[in-house]
Amino acid sequence: MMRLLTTIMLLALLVFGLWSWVDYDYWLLGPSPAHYTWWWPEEFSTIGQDIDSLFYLIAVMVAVMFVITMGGLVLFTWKYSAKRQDKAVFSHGSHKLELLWTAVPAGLLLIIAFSQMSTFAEIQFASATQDEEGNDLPVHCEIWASQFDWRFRYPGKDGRFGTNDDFESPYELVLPLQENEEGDAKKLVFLLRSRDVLHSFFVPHLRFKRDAVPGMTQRIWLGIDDKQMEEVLATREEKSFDIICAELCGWGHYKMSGRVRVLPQDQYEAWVDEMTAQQFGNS
Amino acid sequence: MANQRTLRTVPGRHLAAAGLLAVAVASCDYDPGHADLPWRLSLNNKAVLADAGLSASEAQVTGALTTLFGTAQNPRHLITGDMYDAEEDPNLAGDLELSDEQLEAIVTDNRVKRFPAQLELIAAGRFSEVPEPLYAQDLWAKWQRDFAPLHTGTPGEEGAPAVFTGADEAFPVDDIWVPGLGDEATWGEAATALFENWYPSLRESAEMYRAQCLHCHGNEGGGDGPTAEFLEPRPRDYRLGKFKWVAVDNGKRPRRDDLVSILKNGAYFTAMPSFDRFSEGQLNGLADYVRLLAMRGETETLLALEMTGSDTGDLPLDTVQTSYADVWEGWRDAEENYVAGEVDVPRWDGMSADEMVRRTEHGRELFMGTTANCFSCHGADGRGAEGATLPISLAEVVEADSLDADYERRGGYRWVERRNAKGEVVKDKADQPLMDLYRIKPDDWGNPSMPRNFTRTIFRGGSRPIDIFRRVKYGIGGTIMPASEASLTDDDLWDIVLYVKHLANSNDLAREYERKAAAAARMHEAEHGHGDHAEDHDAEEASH
Repeated sequence: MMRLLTTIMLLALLVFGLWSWVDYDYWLLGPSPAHYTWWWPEEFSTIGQDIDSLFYLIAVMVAVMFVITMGGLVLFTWKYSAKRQDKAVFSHGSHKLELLWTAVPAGLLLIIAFSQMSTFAEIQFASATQDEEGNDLPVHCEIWASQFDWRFRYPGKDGRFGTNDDFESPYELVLPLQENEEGDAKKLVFLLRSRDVLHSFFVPHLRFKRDAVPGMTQRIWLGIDDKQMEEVLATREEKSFDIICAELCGWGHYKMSGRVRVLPQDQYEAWVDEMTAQQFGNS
Repeated sequence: MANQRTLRTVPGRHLAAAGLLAVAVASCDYDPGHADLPWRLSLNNKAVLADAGLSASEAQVTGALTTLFGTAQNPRHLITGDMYDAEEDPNLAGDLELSDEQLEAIVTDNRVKRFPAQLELIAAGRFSEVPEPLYAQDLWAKWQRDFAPLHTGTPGEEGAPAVFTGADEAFPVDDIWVPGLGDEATWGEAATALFENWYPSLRESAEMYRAQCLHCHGNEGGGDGPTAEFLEPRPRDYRLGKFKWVAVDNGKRPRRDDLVSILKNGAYFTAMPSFDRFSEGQLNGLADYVRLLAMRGETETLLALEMTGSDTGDLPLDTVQTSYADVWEGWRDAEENYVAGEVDVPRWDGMSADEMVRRTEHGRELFMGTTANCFSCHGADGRGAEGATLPISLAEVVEADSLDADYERRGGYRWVERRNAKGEVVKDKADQPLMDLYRIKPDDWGNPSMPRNFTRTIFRGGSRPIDIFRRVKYGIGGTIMPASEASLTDDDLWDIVLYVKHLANSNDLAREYERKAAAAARMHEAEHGHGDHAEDHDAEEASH
């Protein structure tokens, strides 16, 4: 029994250790944006593949360990629950076994820790929203969370907030498809704020989730993979994507929704023109 | 070990397990029971009738209202003789004066947002698989009744007519709007047209209202739904017929577009969120239903007053007719009260810095002056009810008794039901303790007036210059915010708007964030001595 357990757990360590190094999605599921849809919707974010790889690594790791531990629990409960009249055995436990079930989970945790570090840094570090010289990248728009409403405030044509040409877009976050000099997707930087309580800005299709904390201004960024997005858009009638609140924020939490719409650069500029005209319109 | 108790020996364990399972299954199909709720009289009108000793006559008012507006499950406007003569039917979508753009938007939304799944199946010829949509029971009834042959066969097959034979004029659900199709239309075309051109009937909108709006606004639109008590500000009570953020002259009834605009944009930083996820048709239909509820509430109050005012305590037919006509009078011409296009919005983004400073300064003078008198409610610092000191006109000290008497005189304040210590339901005035505490003047709904704090950059009725201009020029209906003095020109009002925007902009969090970032950058430069990045931020700041 002991030998069997040791073998299974060490095997798990080996498999997940290898998994975290190998770009598994190519040999397992194929390189298509629709490849993960058995759990998540399609994605078109520049960080989506990394997030998904981590998600499935951890999900499968947890699932396997769940089956092993729960299976053991059920097995032993069943095995030793018979109406036996044996005398109890006095035991100090097994030193080897304790070593094993401490070391293997520790190893698994280390695998999780090391495999997510670079992705975490890419998304979360302050440098993620700065250029190479350490200057903050310009802010695309402000995302305001409040009970029970997402509201997006754009700086208008002057690119500055707190001026008269700022305009608000309730419900709908509109993003441009922009490329930098190298032809890669440009980072769009946002200020995420809450007006009242904790909310969480969650865009499942962009694999992005971040808590909006009252009193805090967070710089977050999104990158859009245009080729992947075209593939996703081709499969659906509706051209916008859900924004939801992923932190229970009160009785109306369930209705706190919004949409993301991504437009090519010229259409985006036309949209900004239209919103500016509305801002100064008299309708 | 023989007497060891395990789960297997617990008596009644099968019963307990079955009970738990039954509870779990039953709670999966939870029905809040809103569907059968009848419309009730408002507590205020009941009190008015009770005071006059006419409680027994409540049934007369209820009966009259049922004749005029139907029931909550089957709401409709009564068509009077005048309307009949004018060939006007407010229940028909075709009579609702929808513009071409609105019609187009409704059809597009029906196609993309509302019925994409249904239309896809119809286009594929899989008619029998078309699923029932939410909040469209009349459409569904028509689909099942008139398009029944499609459910079993495909067009062209035996048993199913190949050609649509035209709309059935005798179809009883007459408030579904299906435009005339030619006799040559196929079943597929007719089915597509049915879904694409859908505009909700009042019955369908009422169904949606009960699911989406009732829990705050209440079954009768009295702003007294189950969640209302927990909200600040309180949800709107439609029954006064007054709405705050509208593009009509002060005190006039709102247009459908005013209501739809609030549905789409929400009232920011209140519990009213944006309902943009619903289709154009659904939102317009909801606005129609809100209008019906408002008209019903207004009529109810009129009838109660007429009854207590008359000698006999009876409700003659002509009184009901006159009251109904009076209420219609206010709503019929709502579109004509529209104040758009009356003024041009100045393009401040192209204005020179000097001009900007001059006009903002002028706006400040007006704000602090006694003609416009803004400061007396909104405070010298523009922080309104949240300012360091309570603005002078709000701080009128009134004795509790006279405050009560003042409440009794006004017709429209709101009652709420509470339970006392004995568990009995008692009526109570909304927010009375708060107003007693602060002595704040109530608005027409009986809620404390809270003049806006401009430094929070939150404008509930919209933050566009024209939105703020309309609040300044026409006032906010039902509140202590009045229409502007006639001696102030539009240019003066625009300067006030500019100053209000300035208050908001100069306290904008984003500005603070910019300042902090700039300070951090300066410190970084001072420490590391990287070149001299001229910081023109402060110079720019001065110009605003």
